[in-house]
Parts: sequence; structure tokens; C-alpha cells
Amino acid sequence: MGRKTKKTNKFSLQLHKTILDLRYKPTLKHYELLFPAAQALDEYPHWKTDGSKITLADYERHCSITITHNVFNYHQDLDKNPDQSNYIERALTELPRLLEISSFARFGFRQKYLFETPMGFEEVCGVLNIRLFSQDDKLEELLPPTVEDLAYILDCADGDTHFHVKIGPLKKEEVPRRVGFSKDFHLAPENSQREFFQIEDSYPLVSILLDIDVYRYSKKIDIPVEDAIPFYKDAKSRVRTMVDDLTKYLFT
Amino acid sequence: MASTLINVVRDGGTRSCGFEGPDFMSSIEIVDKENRTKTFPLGFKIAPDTLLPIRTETPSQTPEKEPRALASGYGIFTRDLDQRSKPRQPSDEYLRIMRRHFVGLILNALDQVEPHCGSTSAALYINQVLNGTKEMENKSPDDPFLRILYAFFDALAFKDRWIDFTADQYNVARRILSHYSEQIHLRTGDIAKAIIKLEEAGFDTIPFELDEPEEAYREDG
Repeated sequence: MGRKTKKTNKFSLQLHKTILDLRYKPTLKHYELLFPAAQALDEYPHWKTDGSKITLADYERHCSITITHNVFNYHQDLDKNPDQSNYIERALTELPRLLEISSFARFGFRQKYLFETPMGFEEVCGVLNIRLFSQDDKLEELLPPTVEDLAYILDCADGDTHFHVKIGPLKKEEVPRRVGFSKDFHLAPENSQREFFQIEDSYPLVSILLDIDVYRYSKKIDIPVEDAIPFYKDAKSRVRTMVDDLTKYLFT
Repeated sequence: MASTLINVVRDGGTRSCGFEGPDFMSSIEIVDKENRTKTFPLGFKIAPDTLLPIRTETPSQTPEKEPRALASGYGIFTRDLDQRSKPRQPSDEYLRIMRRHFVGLILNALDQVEPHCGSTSAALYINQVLNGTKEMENKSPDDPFLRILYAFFDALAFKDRWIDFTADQYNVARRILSHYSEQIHLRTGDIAKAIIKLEEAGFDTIPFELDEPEEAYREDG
């Protein structure tokens, strides 16, 4: 008698990538401030530098922060850092002060989710097609009848907060390119290839990519420093809500 | 290879309600107790006193080499279907999502048609019901729920009878469709029950004029 296995949820949503990106006006003084600022973020055990920029990394938690002359960004692969909010808020507090940044040109927060589904790729295309695209008879007559693949891309805004939304079906082999795991900074060099193969192998056979980028920008480079943490919290909440609502809309 | 068994459903001895079979089927056969075979064209009506057995066998239970063989008693089956390879069946999730999408549109239209019953403005919403059925047929043709929708479609579309139905009737139809759309795995019996309920609500699901049963019969061979 075989052991009965517990029936698992057929659909699952997993966060695969988080990027927080802040851009500012470059100054020559940056180069003398760069390394002292990096030293202040002592929660990252590993680092790499080419002299003009530095990347602080934590291989265990699959996260890193890179500081260059005009941008610093936090990258997180998978959802392996339980202290992500602390890491980000600390960077948003310390780095503007240590790098003497008076205002920002752009805040950006982006997350990529994979929604695993037991449906076949063609079925996912069919569902996304009816849920996201016009079913106008005239349009359908213009196009060949079989939808083999598709992508839904939308730029939209709510006040001064902008959104770049991408939704599309992925086959397993397409996932690495679309998710963009940061192998160089988020895996220990000595066994990065082996670990990366394991991660690639764990990708679902068929999934839906939900890639949402929330950003705010100013050509005058006058976004106040103190807006950074509220932006991060708001963007994170909005993305999560949007992802939950979209998956509910698409699949129920 | 397996032949496809046709299930004919009896609705209390008054009329036939539906049967299951692939769309390329052109006729069905009935074998009676004396092993006499009669062939019926699709769309035939059963006379009120015709007694048809209810068979619930699945195609896999039918003999492979002799599709016409019957275990005992009455039986109804198709022939010459073995040449067709069975297409891949859609997943339950696909059926569920597609059904919820299209049936949702249809139920919404039925909800909205109620205040407009008897007037020409009801046409807008009935059109949505009919188009929704056609759309679902195009996008999710393997969904068994379509057979209930087809019956409802016929009742509405034939001779523009949609204009005669009352708000109460549409409300009942809406509840029937809503109830059966929740069941992903609809058996022939479920489909027949749904159609019977539509009939009981006053929707003539086989409204077309057809030959009398006696005329539809022809001796096989």
C-alpha cells in the first residue's frame, strides 16, 4: 500500500526578485565617500569593488547592495532574507547621509513573481488572452486564430507614482532570462554553478510572470531624501496588493 | 482504440433531453432486447411512450475490437469513431477558469435582462448570452457545460422566443446555469437534469420541427 500524499495547492505564487533602485545627481566627492559609506553597512559579509563602485553581498540571503556614482540599488533573489525591510530601511537612512545626497532623481521598486500553474502553456495563453485582451470579433478576424504566446505590458500612473506592469506566460527554459537571478553576487563563488543549476531546476514547468515596477521620478532631481522610506513602504504594499488582485482576477 | 458510447437520458417518459457524443457523429444506433438495430439521425425526438435505457458506461468499458457488442439488454452506441485519435483533454483548472469567465458574462447578462423582459431592449442582453455561448464554444470547446448552454441557446434563439420569456423564467434559468456551472465534472445525468429544469421553467430546448419518430426510424441493413 502506498502512502497517501497530502494534496498540495495546485497554484502557487512565489516572489523571485526584488529590486530597489535610487538615482541621484553624481558629484566628484562621491569617490571619497563611497568606501566609508559602504563600511557602515556591516550586515553584508561579502564585497566586490572595481574602485569606482562597490557591491556588498550576502550569499546566504541572496541579496546585495551596489553603490555607484549616481545610483544605489538593493537586489534580492528569491525571498530568502527575513530582514529585508530592515536592510533596505537602513540603507535608505544611512546612505543618503553618508554619501551626502541632498535629493533624488528617481525611486524605483520592482518585484518579479512567478505564479505556478498546473495548466499547460497553451492553456495559460488561452486564459491570459481572454482575461487581458480584447475579444472583439473584428480584431479576432484580423489575426490568425491560434494564440501561441503573448505578453501584456502596461505603463500606468496614479498621481506621481508610475507603474510598469508586465504579465506573460513562461516555459521553464524561459524563466532564468526573465527572472535574472544574480549569480555573481548572490551565490558563493566556490559552488555558484551547482547552486544555480539547482535553482534553475526548481523553476516551474509553466508559470506566469508578474513583473511590476513602481517608480517616481523628477527631471529636476528634487525628490526629498525623507520620501525614500515612505516610497519603499508604499510601493511594496501596492505591488503586493496588485499581485494578489491580479492573480485573483486572472485565475478565479 | 475505443468507441464512444452514447448516453441517452430519459426524462420521465415524456421526451428525450440530450445525449453525448462527438461533434462529427452523424447518427446513433439503438439496439433493443431482440437485438434489432435502429438508426436515428441526430436531432431526433423520442416519442412520449418510447422507453430508452440509461447507460452510464465509459468508453474504456466498451470492448475495443467489437464496439457494437453489448453486455445485455438495451444499448446505444456510435460506430466508425475509432479512426479519430483522442485529443488531449483540457485541465480542470483551464475548464474552471474559462467557464467562470464566460458563464460569468452570461449570468450577468441574464441578471440585467430581467427588468427589460418583453421589450426590445432585452435584445442587448440576450445577445450577450448568445455571443457568450459562441465565444465559449470557440475558446473552450471541450467544456461539457456547453451542452447546457446549447440547449438554452436553442430555446432563446429559435424564432426569437427570447422576447416571450418573463423575468421569473430568466431568473430561474440564471439559477440553473449558476448551479451547474459550479460542477467542473458534469456527467451526462447532470447535464440532462439541468436541461430538464430549463424545460420545466418553460424553455423549449428542442424547439425545432423534426420528423416524427416513426419516420425517423429506418431499418439498418
